[in-house]
Amino acid sequence: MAGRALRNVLTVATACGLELYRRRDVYVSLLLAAVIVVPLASVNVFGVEGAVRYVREVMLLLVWAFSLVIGVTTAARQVPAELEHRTIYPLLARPLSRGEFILGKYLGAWAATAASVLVFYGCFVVLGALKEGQGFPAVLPQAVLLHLGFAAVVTAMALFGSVVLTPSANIACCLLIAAGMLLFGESLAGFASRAPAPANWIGWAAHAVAPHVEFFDLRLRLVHGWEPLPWGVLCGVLLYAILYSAALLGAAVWVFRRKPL
Amino acid sequence: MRTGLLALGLLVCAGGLGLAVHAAPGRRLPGESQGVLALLLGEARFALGNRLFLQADRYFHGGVFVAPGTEEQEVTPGTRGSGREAGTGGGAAARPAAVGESRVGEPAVAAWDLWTRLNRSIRPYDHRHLTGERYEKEILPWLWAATVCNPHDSLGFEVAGYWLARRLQRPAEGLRLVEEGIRHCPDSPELEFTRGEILLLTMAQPERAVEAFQQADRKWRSLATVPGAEPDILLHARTLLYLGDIRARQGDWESAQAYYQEVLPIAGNREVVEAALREVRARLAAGQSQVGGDARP
Repeated sequence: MAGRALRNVLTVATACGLELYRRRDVYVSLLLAAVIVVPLASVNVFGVEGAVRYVREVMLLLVWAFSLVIGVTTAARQVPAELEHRTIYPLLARPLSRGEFILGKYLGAWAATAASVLVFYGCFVVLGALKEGQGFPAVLPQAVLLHLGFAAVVTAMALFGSVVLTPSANIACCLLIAAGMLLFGESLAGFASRAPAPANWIGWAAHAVAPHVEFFDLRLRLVHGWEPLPWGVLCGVLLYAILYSAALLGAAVWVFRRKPL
Repeated sequence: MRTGLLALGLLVCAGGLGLAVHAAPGRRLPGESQGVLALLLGEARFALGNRLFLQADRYFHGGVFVAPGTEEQEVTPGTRGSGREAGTGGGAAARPAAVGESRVGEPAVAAWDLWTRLNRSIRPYDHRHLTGERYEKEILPWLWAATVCNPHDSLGFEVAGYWLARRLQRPAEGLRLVEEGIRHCPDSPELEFTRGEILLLTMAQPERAVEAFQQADRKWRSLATVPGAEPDILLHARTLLYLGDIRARQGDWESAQAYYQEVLPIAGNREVVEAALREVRARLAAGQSQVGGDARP
């Protein structure tokens, strides 16, 4: 029975992943990244060659921006598209539970986002090698791993949002939350401790409950050549990604099971 | 989504290609291009320029923003690094941050606040500087961008000129940049001072350096007459010291004495200036006694 459930989930996931390949979002993102980064990498200010960190920073910013958009939009349209085209009915008519359906969609969206993340980082390594003539930084494997954890959380968040919100509201909320936490998540506790009531309650609540996606952001270490994270910290962050994603998926399955189609 | 991305990409591509052409070696954005930035950004380009300068400072500190007042020793043009430079090659952190440790000026982390503790384990906080030509050049793109966005802020030209001439051993480029800064900021004594230092310390042209330091002195005195202005007294002292030192080396003892006497009340290290004055006076006295001896039958 577990095997059948796994096969169902993987079947749904495969279809979802192929959709990203068909939609060509990754190719457009790569092309856009190339037209931004390649001219930037060819600039030698004041006639001095060899400055690479600003190129790394810009490229990683694009990688994060595109992976966030791809992850959120891919996951956010899975359920609404099936409902809109009424393809969900023959799907659920098969021996496929709603929970398996949600898990399959999640796995496909995450796999598609993860694949695009790996392609982006591959280009990052190639560009770095061409510009610097060196191999990749020691912290890169950790950065990639945590970025995949980031993809797991945002796709789970978008999938949960797709069963409770309209598609446009879901995408807007997910992008705002993720971008907001990346920019301000670290200073949320400081704000809450300094703010008067009731703002401080809201701040502490957000600090406790909001997805701390800034944990997964190792761009500073990657760009400026800092040392890799201690393995205990890395495992802690990955555990956070797994637990948070599982909680969001559990909530999505719970809502979807009760949702009239 | 794809249409929007493509449109955005074409726009950025056009801007990027334009930047790549104009930022080719030895070229700067021509004066008329400032109109493009002014058209697009208006007065916001000045704030952007300041932000870009802070970004250069952040890059110098390995990506970590160092708040004013938390520096152990401020790195300024003319000083040599700081007390905690972490080796060569942009090096390893002096000490890895303990889990949840507070930074200087930051409140202590509560024991139950696991998320903040985790954040502080992930973000590097140690104080380090870029060292070595391989890494010091990393701040140049941001300094260039700062001078392009806000050419009327002398600090970007000053720092970039110092960095090019004295840290990256490109004095000609540094001098050219500082002179361009002087064209944009004609009243800045700091830029004339930097020009003088480049000419004296890296290009061994003391006569041109004297002219630059005299310009710096003249502009400083002019600025001092402006109500509400607070010109840098330390800069004035250093200018006078350089002028005194150069004149002393050239054997013009009277001029050297005049400069040392003027700087003595405002010198940070009076003992050094007094020692230099004593030597100059001794030279003058020896010169007078020699003249007197020659005059004797």
